[in-house]
Amino acid sequence: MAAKSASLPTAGAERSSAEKQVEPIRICIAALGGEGGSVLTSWIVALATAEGWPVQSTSIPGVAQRTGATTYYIEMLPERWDRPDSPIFALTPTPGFVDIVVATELLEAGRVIEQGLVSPNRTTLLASPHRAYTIEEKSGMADERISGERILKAIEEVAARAIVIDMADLAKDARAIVSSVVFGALAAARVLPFDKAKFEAVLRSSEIAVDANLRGFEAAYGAVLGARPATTDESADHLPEPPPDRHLFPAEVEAIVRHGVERLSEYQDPAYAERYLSSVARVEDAEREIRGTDTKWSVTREAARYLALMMSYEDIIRVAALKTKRDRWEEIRSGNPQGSKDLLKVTEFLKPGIEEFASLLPPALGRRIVEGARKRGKLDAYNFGLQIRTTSVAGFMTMRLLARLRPWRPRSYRFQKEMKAIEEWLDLVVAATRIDPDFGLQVVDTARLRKGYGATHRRGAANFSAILKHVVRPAIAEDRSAADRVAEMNGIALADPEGDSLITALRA
Amino acid sequence: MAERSFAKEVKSLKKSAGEEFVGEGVLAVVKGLLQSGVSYIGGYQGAPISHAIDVLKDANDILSELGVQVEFSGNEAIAAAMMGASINYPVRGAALFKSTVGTNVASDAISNLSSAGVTGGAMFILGEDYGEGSAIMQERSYPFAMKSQVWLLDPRPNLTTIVDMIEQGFELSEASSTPVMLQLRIRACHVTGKFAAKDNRPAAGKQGKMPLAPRFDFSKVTLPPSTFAQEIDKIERRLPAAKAFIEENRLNEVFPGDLDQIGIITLGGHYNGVIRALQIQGLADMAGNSRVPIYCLNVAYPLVDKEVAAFCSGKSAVLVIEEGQPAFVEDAIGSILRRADLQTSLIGKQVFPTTGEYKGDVLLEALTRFIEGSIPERLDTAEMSQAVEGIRELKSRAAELLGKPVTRRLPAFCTGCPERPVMTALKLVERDIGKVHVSADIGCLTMSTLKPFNMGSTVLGYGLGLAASSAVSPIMEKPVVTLMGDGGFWHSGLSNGIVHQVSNGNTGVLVILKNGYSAATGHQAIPSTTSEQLGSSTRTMDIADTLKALNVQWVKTLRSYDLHSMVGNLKKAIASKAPGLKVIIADGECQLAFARRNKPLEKAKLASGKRAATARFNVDEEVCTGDHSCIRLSGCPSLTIKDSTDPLKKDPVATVVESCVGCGHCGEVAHEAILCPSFYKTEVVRNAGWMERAASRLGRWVIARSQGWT
Repeated sequence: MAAKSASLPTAGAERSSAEKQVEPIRICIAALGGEGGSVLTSWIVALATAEGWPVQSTSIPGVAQRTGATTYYIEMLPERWDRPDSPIFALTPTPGFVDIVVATELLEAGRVIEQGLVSPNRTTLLASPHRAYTIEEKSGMADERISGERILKAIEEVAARAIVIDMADLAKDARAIVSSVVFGALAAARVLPFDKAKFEAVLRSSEIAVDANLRGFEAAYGAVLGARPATTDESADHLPEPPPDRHLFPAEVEAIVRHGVERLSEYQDPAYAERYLSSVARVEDAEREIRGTDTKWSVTREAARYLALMMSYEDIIRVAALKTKRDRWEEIRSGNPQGSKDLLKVTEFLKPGIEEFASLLPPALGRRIVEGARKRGKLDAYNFGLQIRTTSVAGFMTMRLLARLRPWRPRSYRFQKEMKAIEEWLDLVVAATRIDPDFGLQVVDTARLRKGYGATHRRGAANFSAILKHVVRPAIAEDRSAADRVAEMNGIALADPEGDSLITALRA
Repeated sequence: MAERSFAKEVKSLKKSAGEEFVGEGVLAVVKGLLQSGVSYIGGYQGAPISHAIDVLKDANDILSELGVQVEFSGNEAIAAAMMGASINYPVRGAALFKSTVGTNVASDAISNLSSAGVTGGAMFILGEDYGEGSAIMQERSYPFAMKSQVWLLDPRPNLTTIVDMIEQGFELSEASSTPVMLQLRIRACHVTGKFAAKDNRPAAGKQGKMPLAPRFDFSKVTLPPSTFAQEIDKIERRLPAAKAFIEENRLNEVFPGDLDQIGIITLGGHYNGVIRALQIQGLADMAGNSRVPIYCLNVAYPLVDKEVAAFCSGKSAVLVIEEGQPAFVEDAIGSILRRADLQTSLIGKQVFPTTGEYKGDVLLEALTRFIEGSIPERLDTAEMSQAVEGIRELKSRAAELLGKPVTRRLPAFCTGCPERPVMTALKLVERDIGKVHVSADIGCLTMSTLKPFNMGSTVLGYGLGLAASSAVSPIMEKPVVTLMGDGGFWHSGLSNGIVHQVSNGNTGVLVILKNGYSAATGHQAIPSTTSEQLGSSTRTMDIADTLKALNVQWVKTLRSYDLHSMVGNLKKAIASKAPGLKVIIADGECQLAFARRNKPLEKAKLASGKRAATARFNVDEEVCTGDHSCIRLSGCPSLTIKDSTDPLKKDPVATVVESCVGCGHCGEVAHEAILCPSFYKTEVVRNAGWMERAASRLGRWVIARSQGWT
């Protein structure tokens, strides 16, 4: 084994060979489980092997690390090696000394940058702007998502060359695995000294899913060369112009208001939308009074948003209407590709209970039933699970009939209750805005707590009322702003939607 | 069927002298064993050695042709005990498992084996699970070798050296009558490369030596007075014999260099990283020729004092490269230097971090500091410092640009996992009755301790969850709930947990998550794996029957996806005043494994014109209010969030992505927790019969009429 030491050249010769040596090409891949990272690695190894170049790959496949991140590391020497011993390749990347870094998801790109693997002196970074959210991000009550902007900026700043394409989108559109997309991007980026034909030859000789892999490869190849058009944001311009006699809100508010009017006319009727408009106008007046017209109208804009959402609260009628809406079928059909002879079945999971039914009854009766159930702790005791197949005649007609109850809604218990809560909130918004617009904005934001269904909604609504009662009202009564305190309480309620952190905080 | 198939790759195990072997570390290990003529191999899965177990499974035909007995041991102790064959008889054998957890489990057998000594070569192949990618507590295998007097090989991480060291390791084992361990870190297990193959050597039985006459030799029995003689033999005969063999056969390598006033002593496993750091500093070339002399310890234990002293002699300083803690090698070298009265400075952990993996930048920085401190007058160290400084600057610039640390992406239950519904059920039960103490175990189920469940207050070892709860029970108001996988049940939970609880009359609730496989390690078979799941016939042992035989009175087997009955039975089990252990078997096959074996069946069904339906779930964006309670009760990777296309909704809404396998858990959660009406299931039915087609047509017609379609 120690034969190597006998064959060592003299020190001087060794030094000169060290100086003019060819450096290996170092490639690090940060992927997520299920994206085909190991296949991609084997393709890259095959490229080098076909060229007769020495190559080594290693990985942390993460068998026991389900659905976490996986890393692969490859080194190849860009020349033939004729000596009997093999070149010495490293098994781990050294920060600052990696030539190509692939990150198949934005947060992973952030992570490789954080580790120092992306160097402005030498690294080409192939990254994707799409997100696979972590559990921390997606389990929040509101919006806990990490801002991708900083990472995107860091990508541009740190990499010697950055190639950012939406790998997940390309793979989805091409019905291919992400690894084939990365392989195509590598080919197009020309960071490895092989032409396109050699990349394709590797995919062909693998003999597995060749067509799909070539589709993914080609899509990314085109995307890197700029063949793919950028997607545009949705705007609100498609909505009908307001009638000439309608009061026009400032531009910042108007877009939201138009969506609100559209929503509420569909939800109930045009008269209901009128009611919405006059409510928004009350906030507008209050904000103008204190801020004048030279403002961004943040209070009115957000109030218009949450007012529309609260006024279109989700009851059985609303859910039934949404579930039988025409565009819904089109969407479901396009989301589930089928052959001409295939059938598509849709099953809804509903579990209405006492509250849902009582909410449709006349106020006095509905209240009596709900209060009775609450006192006995039986609010969630009589829910019954329904699986309604809305693609069947009976299932569809049932939902349709429920949706037809719309004219009855204003006479229902829930409607009366919601309107009362909204009026109270609106009065407080107006009063708070007159004291301090920031205070008003925070009171508006409290509406964010009223969401979900069943117990989630009940807890959210209770938190909403508690903040209004214990923080907002006393402040207004004393004519002082409580903007910070309300913001803090909103944050606490959102951070712990299932617990009683808010109650504890309010007592403190 | 295991997660990863080596069916194609195992063909290379047949290569003979004159051919070149190309492949991955785990495959080369098995080839090395075959070239050494082993008679038996036992093993237990666990990263990073799992894939070696898969290789053995897929190479069954080749191995039986050579007469090698392969056993997929029930746990690591069983694999190690198999080596009893090598105590009295001239047969070689190997046991493979992950370390240090597997070594812990096996340590009774290891101690007895090493005390008795071996006649035939015996080798443990240890997957050293340390550093990035590790799933266990951070410890080293090294002290096992020291305390039991087992020789520890740590080869340079290239296939030639790994295979050489396996072959030489067996010779060493026989020359010193001592079992040896060969440790491989995770990347070495998966490193690709090539080596010149040799012929496989048939197992002893195939060489015409069998059957052997039964042998009794009391000196090989670990019972006093033999044990005292064995201790003396270990120290006075076996250890010197091993050192002599290591020295004569030059198992450790010396690579000279012109900067010979200093030197590097590295464990074999770190060699490539050391060379890379030297390459970056212009002190080595791609072939590994280094200007700094290197003494590479392919044998990490025992050290050969003479070799160490000879290498250090005349040097002003040596750097010891040894990952992890405590620094056994560094301390041993210190004592060798002292005894030899050498004044060489010993540098080690003062330039390295005491804990954690020695990655590229760690090695580069430590090596640079060592060189700066020892020979600055002969080298331009300013440029070297620049390389280290450059990495620092790069990282701090990155941190500044990113603003805050990037959130770690932690593992979670896979899409469709049958264990998720159990955790959801437990969370819902806690919502009703208040918190309970949950004792977790090893396996996929340990993910229960992470978000969104955060359940399972302790993890004490594989199959030990139940035992770990026994002293908690008396100090709790409510019964303790223990989670155990079917893998853990058979590994040791049966005897260490259930037998213990029953015989002590302990109460409590145990949920056995029966997914059919040792799933976390890549779907290796366990005793309760059925023939259908395995794809070949097997003697399946039933968990419920086993519990009955153990006199457990309260046993309920539930479909794990049936959330309603899971919640109900968990409540019942917790509320029950009946004496004894209450066991719920949550029965649901691992969906990854199921999908893999079901895919070809579905294809065939479709091709033959039989009805087939594909289900998946989705969320009605307009109905979803964006409160994410469904995610907090599920954590499914396929259930995530997206921007709402509704301009009025600011918060993201829930969505189900393509990877959904249609397990139905979302719907069950929505029902059981009374969440919302947003979830719906779509089924695409292929090859439907005429009645089903007619009904569907009628439905479409009615819907179209009612919506005013033409």
